[in-house]
Amino acid sequence: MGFESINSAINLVLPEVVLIATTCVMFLAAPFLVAENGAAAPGIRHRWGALALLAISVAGWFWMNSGLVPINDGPFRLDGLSYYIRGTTLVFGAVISLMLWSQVDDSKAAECQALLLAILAGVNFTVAANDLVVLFLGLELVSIPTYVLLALPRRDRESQEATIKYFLLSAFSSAVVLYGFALLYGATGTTHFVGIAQAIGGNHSGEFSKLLPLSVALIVAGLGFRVTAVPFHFYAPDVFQGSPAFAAGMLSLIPKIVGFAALVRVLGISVADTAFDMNLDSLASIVKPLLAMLAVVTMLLGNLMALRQTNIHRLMAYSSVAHAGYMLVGLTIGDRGQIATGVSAMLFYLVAYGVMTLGVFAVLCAISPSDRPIKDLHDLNGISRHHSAAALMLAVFLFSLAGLPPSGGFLGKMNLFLAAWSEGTMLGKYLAYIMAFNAMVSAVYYLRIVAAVYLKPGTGPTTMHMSAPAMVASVFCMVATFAMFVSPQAIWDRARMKDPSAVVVVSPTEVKSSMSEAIDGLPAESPASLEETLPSSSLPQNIPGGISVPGERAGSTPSASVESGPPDSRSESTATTPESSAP
Amino acid sequence: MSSMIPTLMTLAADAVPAAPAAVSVVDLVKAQLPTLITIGAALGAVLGAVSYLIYVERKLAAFMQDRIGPNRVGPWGLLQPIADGAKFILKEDVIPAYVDRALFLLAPCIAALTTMLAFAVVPFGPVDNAPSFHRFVIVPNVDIGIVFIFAIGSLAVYGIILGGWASNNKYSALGSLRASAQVISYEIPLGMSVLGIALLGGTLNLEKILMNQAIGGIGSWYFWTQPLACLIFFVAALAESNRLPFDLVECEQELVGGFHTEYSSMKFALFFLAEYTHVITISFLTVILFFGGWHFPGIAEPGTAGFGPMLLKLGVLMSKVFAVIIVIMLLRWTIPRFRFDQLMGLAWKVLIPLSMANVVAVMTVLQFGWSTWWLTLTSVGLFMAAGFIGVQQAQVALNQGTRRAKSKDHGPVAHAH
Amino acid sequence: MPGKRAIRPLGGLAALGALALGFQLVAGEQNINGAIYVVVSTFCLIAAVLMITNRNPVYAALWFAVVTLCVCGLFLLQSAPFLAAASIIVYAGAIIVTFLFVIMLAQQSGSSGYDQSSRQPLFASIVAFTLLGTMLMTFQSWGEQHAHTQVSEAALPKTIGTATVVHAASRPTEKEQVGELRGLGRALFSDFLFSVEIAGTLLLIASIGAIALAPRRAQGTL
Repeated sequence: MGFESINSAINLVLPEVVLIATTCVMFLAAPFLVAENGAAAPGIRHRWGALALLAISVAGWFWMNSGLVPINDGPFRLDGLSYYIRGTTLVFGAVISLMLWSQVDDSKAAECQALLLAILAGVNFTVAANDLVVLFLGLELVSIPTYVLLALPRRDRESQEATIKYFLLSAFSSAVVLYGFALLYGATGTTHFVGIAQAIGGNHSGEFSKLLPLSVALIVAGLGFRVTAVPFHFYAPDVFQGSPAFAAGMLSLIPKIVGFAALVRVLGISVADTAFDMNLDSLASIVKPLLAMLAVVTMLLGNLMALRQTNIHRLMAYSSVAHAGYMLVGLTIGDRGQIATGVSAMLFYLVAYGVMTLGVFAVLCAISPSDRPIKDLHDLNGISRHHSAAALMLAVFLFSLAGLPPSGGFLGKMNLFLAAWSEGTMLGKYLAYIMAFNAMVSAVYYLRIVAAVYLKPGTGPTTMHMSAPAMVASVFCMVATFAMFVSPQAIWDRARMKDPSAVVVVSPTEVKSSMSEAIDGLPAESPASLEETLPSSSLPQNIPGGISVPGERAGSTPSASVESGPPDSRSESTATTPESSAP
Repeated sequence: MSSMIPTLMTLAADAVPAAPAAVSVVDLVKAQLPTLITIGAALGAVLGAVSYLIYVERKLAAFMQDRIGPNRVGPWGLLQPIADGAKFILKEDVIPAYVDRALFLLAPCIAALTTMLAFAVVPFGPVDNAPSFHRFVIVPNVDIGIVFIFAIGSLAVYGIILGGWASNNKYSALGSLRASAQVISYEIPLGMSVLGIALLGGTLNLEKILMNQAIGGIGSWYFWTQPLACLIFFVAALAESNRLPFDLVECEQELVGGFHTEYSSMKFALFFLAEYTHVITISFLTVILFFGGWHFPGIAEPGTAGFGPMLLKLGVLMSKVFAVIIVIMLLRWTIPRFRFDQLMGLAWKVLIPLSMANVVAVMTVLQFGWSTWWLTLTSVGLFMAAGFIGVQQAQVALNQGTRRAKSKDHGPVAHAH
Repeated sequence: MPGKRAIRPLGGLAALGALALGFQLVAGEQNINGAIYVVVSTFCLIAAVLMITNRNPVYAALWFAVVTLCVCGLFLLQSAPFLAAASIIVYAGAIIVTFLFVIMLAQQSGSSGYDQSSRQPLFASIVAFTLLGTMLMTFQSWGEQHAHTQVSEAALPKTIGTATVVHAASRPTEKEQVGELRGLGRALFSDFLFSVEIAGTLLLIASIGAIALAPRRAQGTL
C-alpha cells in the first residue's frame, strides 16, 4: 500500500472520524462545565444530547455521500455490507442517544453521549475493516466504552454487578476472538482479508489449512458472546437486569450488530473473495454444522427460558437470545436460498429486530419514573390506563417481536424462514421448522405482557410525566416497525447488497487480461514469483461484479464494472491498482 | 531463516557459525569467551567502583556538613570500604520470623540483578577501534539499546515491592507501595525525554547516538539542543534510583528504613549495591546521551586508533561520569526531600507535559527542516513557561490558604459554591 | 533442619547440571536457536502451570511475570526485540506490578474462600481438557502439513489477491534485517497507521472512562 492510498483511506472513514472527533470534543469540554463537587448546570444534558445528534447526522450525511470501495489493499473496505451496517448503526445510535437523554444526570450526560458515539464509531470500524487488526480494534472500541457506559449512570450494587459481569465475560470473549485471529494469522501469514483469502485459496487449492477450523471455531465462540448465542449467553439476563433501560436496549442491539457484522466479515472470507459469499469456498463452510447447532440451541433455550421470567429486563434478555438464534439461522444458510439468501435475510432481520426491541426499551425509558425504574412485569399491569399511547406502542412492538403481521418483525421472520426453506437441504428445512415452532412459543410470553398492560388491574406508576426524547424515539421505532412492513423494499434492496440486474458476466479471457495488466503494473522486483503464486485456482470463479451502488446511483449505473466497483472518484485505491512497494 | 539473526544471538553474533552444526557446551563457551571476559571486567569494575563511591559519598557528606568523615581505617580512611564489605559478609544473616522466606530472599537478588543487567548495553569505553579481546560493551550493537535499559529498569520495582511485602512489616509495605507508584510514574518522563534524541539521531542504539555526537563535534552534543530533555532525564532517572531528593521509599523519619527495614548483612548490601550500580548506570547514560560520551574536542576525537587514544577516550568518559556522580552526591545534601504529593505532582503535572512538549517541538523542527538550534530556544522557553506557571500556581495556592484561614474566622463563606 | 539446608545448594547445582545436560542434548541435535527455544518454552509452560495452580495470589502474579518474561524471550528468538522490550515494560513492568499492588492492598489476610474453590470443577475440567486436546491435535496435524514451510516466507507473502500487494510497506527492504526497529516503525506508521490511530482512540477512551468512574472528591473515598 502506498502512501497515496493511506492518505485517501481517511476519506473512507469520514463518518467515523466525525464521531470520534465529537467524542474527543465532548470529553475535553465536559470537565470544564462540571463543578468540583460533581454538579453541573441543570438542563445541560439537552445540549450534549443535541450535540451527539448533530454529530450523528453529520456522520450520516458523510455516510450517504460515501461511495463503494469494495476490494482493496488498504485498511478499510466499503462494500454493500459496510454501507448497510453503517447506516443501520447511525440510525439506531440516534435512537439510543434519545433514550439515554433523560436517563443520566446532567453531570454525566456528556461522557455518556460521547461514549455512545465512540461505540457507534467502533461498530462502523468493525464493519468497514479490511484487516484483522482493524476488525479487532473496532470490536474493542465497542466493548470498552460499553463497560464505562454501563457503570457510569448509576452507582448501586445491581449496576456494579452487571458491569463487572459484562466486563469480565466480554474481556474473556475478546481474548478468545483474539486467539482465533492469531491462529488465522498463523495459518495464512497475513492479517489482511485480501491476503487471507488469497492464502486460503492459493496455497492449498481446495484443501484448507488444518489450523483454519480451530481458528474459525474460536472466532465463532468469541463472537458468540457478543451476539448472545447460547452456550455464551449466560451473562445476558443478569447484565440486562442490572442495567438501566437504555443500556439494556443498547446491549440487546449494538453487540448483535457488531457481532454479526464481524461474523459475516470473517466467515465470508472466501477463496474468490467476492463481497461476502458464504459458499463452499468460504470459511463459513467449515463451521456450518457448528453454526446450525448454535442457531437451534439458541432459539430453543432463549424462548423456553423467557417463558419463566417475571422481570421485564430478564425477559427481554432471553428474547434477545432467541432472536440471535433466528439470525444465526440466516448466517447458517449463508448465500444459499433461492427466494432470499440467508445473510440478506439476517441483515434485514437485524434492522427489524433493532426497531422493535429498541422500541420496547424506549417505551420503558419514557414511562419509568426517575426514582423507580420499571423492572417487574407487574409494574406494567394496567399501564394502558395511565399511558394509553405508550401502552399502544408497547403492544405494537411486542406484536412485532412475536412476528405477527402487520409489522417488520413478521416480514423479517418470513424472510429468514423462506431463506432456510429454500436452501435446498434437509438442514435448511429443519431449521425452518424449528424457527416456526419457536416463533409460536415466543408469542406466549410477548402476548402475556400485552395482556398485563391492557387487561390486568393497574398498580403501575401514576405519575404522568414522560420523557420527551424517549417518546420521540419510541414513536420513531413504531413508525419504522410499520414502515418495514408496508414498504420494505428500500431496506431489502440494501440488505441484499446485490442487484441481480447489475451482475456483469465477465468472460475468463477478460479477467485474465485485466490480471496481466495488473501484473505489468507491479514493481519489477519479482515477476517470476508472482506468476508462481497465482495458480489457476485463484482465478475468481465468482466475479465480484454484483456490487451495486446503493441509492440513486444504482439506477444510473446498473453495470458496475469488475475492477472499480462504482465509477467513483476514489477508485484509485481499488483492487487492481497496485501501489509501488517502495516506501 | 539464515537471514534472521536473532537478537539473542547478537551476544556473539560474530562467533556463532553461519551454518550451525552440532554445538557443544564447550564450543559455546569458547565462542563466548570475549563476552565472558567483558562481563567479568565490567562487573568487577562496577563492584569496585561501588565500594569506593560509598567512601567518596561519605567524604563528600562530611565535607558539606563540615566534618572529617571516615579517616581511621588506612591512610585517609581509604581502607574503609574494605572494612565495610568484610562487616557485611561476616555479620549474622538474620531472617525474621513470619516473613515469606522465598520472596524475602529473592527480592535483593532481583534488585541487584536488574541494575546490573541494564548495564549490559551501555558502552563504557570507545567501542570503535577497540581491541578484539575487550570491546567495552557487553552486548554490542543492540538496535533497541535505550528501550532495553528501560525494560530492565522497569523490572527493578519487583525487588522493592517484593522485599517490602515479604518482610511482613507495615513500614516495609508502605515503602514498597510508595516505591512502585514512584518508579512507575517516573518511567514515563524518563522514556519520553529520550524520544527527542531518538528522533534527532534516528536511532535508539547507544553506540550510534554516541558516534553521532562524536562525529558532529562539541556543537552536536545533544545537551545543547535538548537541555530540557537532559534535565527531565536526569531528574526522572534520579527518582528511579530512589536517591535522596526522591527517597520517600526509605525515608528514615517516616518509615524507619522503608522496604529494607527488615534486611541485614549481605541481603541489605545487595540493595545498597543495586542503588549505587543504578547511580553509575544513569551517570553513564546521561554522559552518553547528552554530553558526547568519550568525545572531547581536541583531546578525544573519533577516527583515532591505537592504545593511547583509547586510554584517553576512556579517561574522558570516566571523568565525565565521575563528574555526574559527584553532582548526584552533592544534590543529596542540597535539596530536601519531597512530600509524596509533590513527588507525584512533579512527575505527572510537570515532567510528563514538558517532555511531551519537547517531543512535539523536535517533531515540528524535523518535519519542517528548521535548524535544530530552534530547539534550544524552545527548551528554554518551555522551562521558563513551566517556572512561570509554577510560581502562579503557588501564588494562587497561597492566596487561597490565606482566604481559607480568614473564612474560618468569619464562618463558612467559601463553601457557597 | 540443617540437613535440609545443606541439600538446597546441592539441588541447585543438580538443576544447573540438568539444564546444561538438556542444553547439550538439544544442542547436539539442532542449532543453538532450537536449544534456547526448548529451554525458554519449557520454562514458560512450567511457569504458566504454576501460575494457575498456585493458591497464593501474590505468587500467581509473580509466575505470571515469569511467563511474560519467557514469552519475551521467545519474541527475541523470533527477531522481535522491540516487541520483547515493549512487552516487558508494559506487562511485567506496569500491569503485573499493578496487580501486585492491588493484591497487597486488598488481601492483607490471605486470599478469601470464594477464590479458593471453583463452582463446577468437573465440567470446567472436561471442557478445558477437550479444548486442549483439540488444539494440540490441530497443531500436530498442522505441523505435519507445514513441516517444510519456511517461516519467513509464510510470514511475509509476496503476492496476494489478484495481483494486489497488501502490507507492502511492512516488508523489510534489501538493506535491513528482519526485526530491525526501522522496519517496525515503517509498518506501524504506513500499513497499520489507522490501526495505530484507532488503538490510540481506544486508550484515550479507556483512560477517560477510568477517570469518569473514579469517585469524585466531594463524594468521598478519594
